[in-house]
Amino acid sequence: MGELSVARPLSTGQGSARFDRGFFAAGVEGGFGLALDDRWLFPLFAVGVAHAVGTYPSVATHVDGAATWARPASAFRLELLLPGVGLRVKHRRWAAWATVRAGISGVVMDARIADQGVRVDTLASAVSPSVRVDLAACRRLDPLARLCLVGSPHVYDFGPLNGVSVGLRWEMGP
Amino acid sequence: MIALRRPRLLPLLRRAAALVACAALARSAAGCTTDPRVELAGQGGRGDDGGPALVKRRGLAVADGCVLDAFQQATLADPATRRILDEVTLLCLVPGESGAVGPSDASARAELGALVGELRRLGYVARLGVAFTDGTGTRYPGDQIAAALARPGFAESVASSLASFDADAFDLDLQGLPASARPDVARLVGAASARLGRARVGLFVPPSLSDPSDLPGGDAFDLRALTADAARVSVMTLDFSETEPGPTLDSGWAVEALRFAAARATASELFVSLPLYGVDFGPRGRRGVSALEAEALATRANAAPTRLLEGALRFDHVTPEGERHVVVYEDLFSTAFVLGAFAPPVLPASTGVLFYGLGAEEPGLFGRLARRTP
Repeated sequence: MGELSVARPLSTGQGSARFDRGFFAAGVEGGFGLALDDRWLFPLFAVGVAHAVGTYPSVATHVDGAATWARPASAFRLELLLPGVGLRVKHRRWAAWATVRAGISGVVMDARIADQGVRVDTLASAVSPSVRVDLAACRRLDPLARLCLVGSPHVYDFGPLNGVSVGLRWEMGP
Repeated sequence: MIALRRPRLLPLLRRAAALVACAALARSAAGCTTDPRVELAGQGGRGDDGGPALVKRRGLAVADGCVLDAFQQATLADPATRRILDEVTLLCLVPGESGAVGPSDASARAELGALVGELRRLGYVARLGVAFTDGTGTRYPGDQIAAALARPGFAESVASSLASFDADAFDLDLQGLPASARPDVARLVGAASARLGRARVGLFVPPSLSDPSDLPGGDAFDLRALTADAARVSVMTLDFSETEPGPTLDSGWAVEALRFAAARATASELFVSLPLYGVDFGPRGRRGVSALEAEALATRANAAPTRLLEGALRFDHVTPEGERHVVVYEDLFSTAFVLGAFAPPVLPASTGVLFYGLGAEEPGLFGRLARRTP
């Protein structure tokens, strides 16, 4: 992550604060898409939300010179994934697929800013375009449901190769 | 050849519900503080010690006095310090009521001259600061200085007297003046410029944020006029907390003060000030302390210093006499944090840094800053 947007109370409003701390987050994601010819995948839209897990030191940074502490332990991560494309192979009950899709990532966290003697609690936020590759290995559980293990390198997410997601995915469809 | 079949666009609902664990790859600012609750964000690069890189600025250290003790001498002799500091001001010249500037006795002048020579030998620009204090070292009240400045011939006498000292430049430290002293300050600076040359005249000015000034003594300085006679204006962004215990420097405040001065002293080189000293706030007032003394007090009181939002460390203690005190002091973290706050474009790289209180800093501070400064 590069810059967080933070309001500076006594100055010209919004400013940006450098933030270069990574953190772990856990959450849920839901979406839908199309499968064509049992081979081509067209993921449409998905939304994910996650919250930081673990303890992290505050990050001391600045907004236009004003001392600012951001609290990554309080961070919410939001992700809106846009339509993409992918390929699937199946063998009996097993399937594997890969998709690539673009999206928008956002992070919001608590921050505290000191500006000319005034200390104010505020929110720091950042938005970035994202590109994500999803790689999955799945096993069909019944005619309509499939359970997948998904790994997702974040090709771009506030920076190149800046993150990875792993998770379990419940798929409904052929 | 791939046989294209008519797409069976099955409206397959792919509703996925996933537990996602995101691990943002850590491009983290690791290892720059021992305080477990806060770490410094980077400024876009790393120093040799892994801490956030700092922008190289012209550095000036101000030592309060005409002599340097062994600790100060060792600091200045360290080549790493030379990478951060370019100039040293010995704040020790004192004008008498006649305008003649002391020290006046030959042996003191010889010692001072030797020290200036030693600073030059080490590669520093040697400056002398003029503080308006009486013979005991107590700073004159502002109205007393104003009365002296208003006396006919005083300004010219000070300027003439300064010319007799061997130094590369001079810094005039006038504090607490009433607004009525504005023309006399201009006359003193003008006389110094005429006698010494504009390039050798520097001014310490209060960190005003508005016009009229929000600070006592701020209106005595007409920076738009003074910039014609002073090549250097150092904005004394120090002592932010004067009555209640608090930080000595608030970086947001300092930035605003520098911008205010930059809009007026357009022809002068600007310096922003950083404290190297700490302050012990007690019921009888404030007292300057070194980082070493602050750490010793914390150890003696078994106090765990906490980090202020502004970067400095703070702890409370009770003296053996039963007085409650609060100590606020600086260390590498707070100094690097504030220097990082000034990184361009917040303050241009041409803005210098005045480190006030040479000798009060955490030992090895300049060497560690040097490792973070390309």
